[in-house]
Amino acid sequence: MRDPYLLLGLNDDADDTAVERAYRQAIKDCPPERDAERFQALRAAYETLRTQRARLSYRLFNHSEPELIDLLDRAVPCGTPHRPDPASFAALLRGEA
Amino acid sequence: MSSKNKQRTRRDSPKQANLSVEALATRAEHAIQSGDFRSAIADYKTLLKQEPRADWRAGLASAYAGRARELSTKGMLKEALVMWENRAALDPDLPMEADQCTLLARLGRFDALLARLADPKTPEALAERLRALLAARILGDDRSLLERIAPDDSLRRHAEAARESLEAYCAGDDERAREALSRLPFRSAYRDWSTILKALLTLNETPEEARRQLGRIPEDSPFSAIKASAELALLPESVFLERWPTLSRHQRAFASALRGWSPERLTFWEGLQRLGTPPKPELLVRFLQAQRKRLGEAWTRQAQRRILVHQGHECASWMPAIGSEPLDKLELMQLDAWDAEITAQHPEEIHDCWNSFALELKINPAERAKDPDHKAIIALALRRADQLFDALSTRRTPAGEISEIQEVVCEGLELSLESDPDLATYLRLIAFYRHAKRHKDSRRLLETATRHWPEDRRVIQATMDAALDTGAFKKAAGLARRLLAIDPINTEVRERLVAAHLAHARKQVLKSRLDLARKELGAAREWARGESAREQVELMSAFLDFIEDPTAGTLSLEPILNRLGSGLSGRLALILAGGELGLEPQRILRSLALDASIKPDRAELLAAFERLRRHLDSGRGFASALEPFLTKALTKAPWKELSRSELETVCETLKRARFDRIRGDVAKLALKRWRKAPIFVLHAFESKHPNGVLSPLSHDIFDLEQALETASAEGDDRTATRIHEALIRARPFGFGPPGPFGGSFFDFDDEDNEEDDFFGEFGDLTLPPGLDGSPEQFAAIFRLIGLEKMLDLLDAPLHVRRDLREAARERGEKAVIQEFIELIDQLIGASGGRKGRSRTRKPRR
Repeated sequence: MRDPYLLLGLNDDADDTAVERAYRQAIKDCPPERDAERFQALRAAYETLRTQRARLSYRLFNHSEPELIDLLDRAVPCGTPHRPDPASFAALLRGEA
Repeated sequence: MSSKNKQRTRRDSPKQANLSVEALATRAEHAIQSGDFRSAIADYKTLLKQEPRADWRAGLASAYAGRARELSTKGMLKEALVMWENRAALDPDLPMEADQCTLLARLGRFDALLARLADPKTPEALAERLRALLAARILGDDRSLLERIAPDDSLRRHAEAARESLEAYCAGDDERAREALSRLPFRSAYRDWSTILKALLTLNETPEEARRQLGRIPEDSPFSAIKASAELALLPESVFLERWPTLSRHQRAFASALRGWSPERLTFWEGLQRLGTPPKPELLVRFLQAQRKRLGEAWTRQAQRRILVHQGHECASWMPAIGSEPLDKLELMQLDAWDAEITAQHPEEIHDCWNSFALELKINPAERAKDPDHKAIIALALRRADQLFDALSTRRTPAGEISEIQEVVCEGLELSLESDPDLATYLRLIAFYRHAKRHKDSRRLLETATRHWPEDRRVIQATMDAALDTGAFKKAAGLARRLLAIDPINTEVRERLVAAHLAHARKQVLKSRLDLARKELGAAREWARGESAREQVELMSAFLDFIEDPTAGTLSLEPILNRLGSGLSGRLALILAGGELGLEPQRILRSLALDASIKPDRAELLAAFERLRRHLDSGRGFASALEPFLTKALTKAPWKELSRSELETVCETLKRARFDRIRGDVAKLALKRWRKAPIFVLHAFESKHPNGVLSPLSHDIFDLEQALETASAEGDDRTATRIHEALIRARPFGFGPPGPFGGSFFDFDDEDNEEDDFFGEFGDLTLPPGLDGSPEQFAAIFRLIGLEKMLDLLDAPLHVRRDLREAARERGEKAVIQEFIELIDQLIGASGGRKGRSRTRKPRR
């Protein structure tokens, strides 16, 4: 299971309002008709964090091994996409390993 | 020649020597068709030595081409080139194949490609392929090639625009990139590049469109490496990371740039990758420790525990080894509880772990000081067992019963409310106590819940339900009115209110207070909306008339009968409604000039059972005379016209009504049509032995065991479970299969090691000296431990517990224990006796 905080882009100390706001924004950015699977994941994350009790429950009972993608996203979040440089194009076109 | 080839030649030679020319040619053709190009080459070579026929030479050329492609796929490029050269040596006029061109480009042998391109005899299709290959190379910054291409060749003329579009894209000048692309005509050798760049320009804004455009690039395009890398940027992050190990360095750099990866992210991920796939847990814990500043101290420690719990207890020692603080007592307890959730066989173990955790947090001020949410955490830990196992499920618990674990869970939940008064927990406990008929407990919790949430709809509804349970209909009606004031369109409450008024009216009738009954009926009429509610009100009104004056009552009942029909279903409606007011079926039928014997058709039969089912669903009772009425009325019922599922439903309804005789008859009829059908075997058995089977050798037990096997083999788990439970209930004293939490009381297979565990069940019980487990000594033990412990020890089924408790209330506990011991003696005698010391119990784990 992905870290619900990371999925919704929340800090560890997020409260009910922040969770609600992040969820609404997330489903606005990725409505179910665009990506049903991601929407399900967002929904599950929201349910996991919706209330203070739910958040404590997650903290107390979640014993699933942390996913590597969560470690990565937590340590160094993804930035803005940028363009590869001409050398990258050249290497691919030349078939370099 | 390699040793491999030498071996092959040695092996094949005798066969070739024995084959005729025709057979060898056929074999060579087959070898090509089946993709065995090496054999085909050998065979064609042999054939060509005998006669230089053109078709054999063509065959050998095909075999060389096939082998060359095979070697290219394996990455043996130089070996593949040798194959192509061998092919070319067969006939200088043979056209160069596209795959050969691709291979030459991959090997950087551009001279050959340029020579072919310059050759006017080169077919147009091949020239186009050569241009595309050279275009990719020129765009890949191999500008020296341009000088060697004719100035008027489109490849050279379009190179500048292509290059400019690439540079503009990389510089983020999309407008210039598009303008440069517009200078490339459709038939340009840079066509695929143009499509790819258009996709890249829209990658973030319209990823679907970009994906569609990239999909148009053929796999063998010289630009396909960029296409594949661009597609990586469109994958979900998790899929991209999964593909990571298969990607080249340049693909990773290209795709991660498009995905917004910074160099730090790339480095971090590569660091994680170095820990192995999947990462070795110890290395991962160490890595997290090293990265704890980035990840957050608290999160890192939690994540480390989530890794440790899957590695066994000894892994807790990793923490000091990696320079971290050792796990404290509470962390270790959480780890134990997680471990129990993963590995424990019984809910008790998990409950115990979380209970200890909650207790530690409660009593340890240092731990409490660490967390402002400690009260809620204590409550959550105490609720965990119920959350995991749905321990207080009213669906799975027989009404009026409460098991040992449920007692423990209830205790935990009540304790949790002290730390965190949670409405959902209150309601769950109240519902369970009502189901278990512990009305005092449910009232106690309702009082507290009402103090906390006086206007909450769910609390009022629970109070109303509790009032209905105890027959406080007037109070229930008042609460229902309060609920309807809050929520006027609540159909369920409206129905409950009507039901409460009707129930109160019945109560008044039985007290001979018809005036008050009519008042209640008037109130019920006021709220009755649905067809069923109105029918009940009308029936009761008519029966009140009937009780006051049978003649007038008959006149009131007749129009209702006309509407309901005088068939089985209509008669059943009258008898059910009249029975609740203490009226005998015969009297009702006689007054309406109806005969008890009737021949219902299929529809009537199904309608009657549907009515009976609805009546049972409402939780109302019926007169004992209903069973004889139905027995007679169903004598001529067309059971054969009912389908299997309809008969199953009928049996289930009869089971709920406890009409075992009729149920047995229906099940037997069904068994004639569906021989040994497990569900009907079960119904036949249960209706024949409603109180269990005393003889373990009964043939019915044997039939039921066979039905269990059949149901399991057919994958009918629900029936198999029901039969399993019926077997346990039917054989109360340990002859049955093991129950869900342990074996049967007498286990004669484990003679050597169970005695200690058996006596261990008694806790601090000191056995009189000289006991060796004989029946007399068991009697002594039972007398010593008392009835309740004895029942626990025997894993006695619920109905046996109930009966024995009732008997103990009537005759005293000692007398019941004595009778019970005598019964065991009889049973042991009946089954041929048991070996003296083997009566030991498997411990409950």
